[in-house]
Amino acid sequence: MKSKTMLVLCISALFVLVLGLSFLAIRLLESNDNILALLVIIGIVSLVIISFNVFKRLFGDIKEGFTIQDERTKKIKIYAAGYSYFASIYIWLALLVFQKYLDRDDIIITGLFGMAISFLISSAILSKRKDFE
Amino acid sequence: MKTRIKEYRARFCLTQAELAKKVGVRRETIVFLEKGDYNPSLKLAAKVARELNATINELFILEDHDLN
Repeated sequence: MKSKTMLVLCISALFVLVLGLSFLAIRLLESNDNILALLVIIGIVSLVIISFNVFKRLFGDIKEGFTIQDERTKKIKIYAAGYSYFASIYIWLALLVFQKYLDRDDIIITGLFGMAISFLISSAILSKRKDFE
Repeated sequence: MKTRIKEYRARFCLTQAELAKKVGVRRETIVFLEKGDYNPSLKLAAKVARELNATINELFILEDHDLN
């Protein structure tokens, strides 16, 4: 996949995520869960700021003629996907244990976020790892 | 693994970014390669060697403990 196509896909996914979180924040504000709403809004702002910086760097790299994906980044993604798969098994197991205390929607949202976050954390840790083969 | 990429790169007065562009990888990959912190594929090793006018054996020095 071309670097620009991948970047456009990532920006679109981020847009959908921010939109979904915004609706969640509005729903929480309507139900007077102000603290949770505030946490979600802080999350949205942090996500936008971090993403802006990352995308700025990536666009800069593309402009200068660098590729944004090479064999090392592909390997990192593959390993991160493997680790996050194992992490997500335990996340879903933990959610199943607490299913009596949670709504169905909350379980799905938490599970999916857990999977996404575990992938991001694995990628971040692996990208710093030495002796990568 | 030890590498002599930095030494060969200096001979050609190439920066890490320039070498990365020529080889078609990210600059970080060249940094990790130079430090010996990343074992490249044979294809990438050959590309780097070709750009630096050297052989793979000259650039990448594998010691006994690397092979175990």
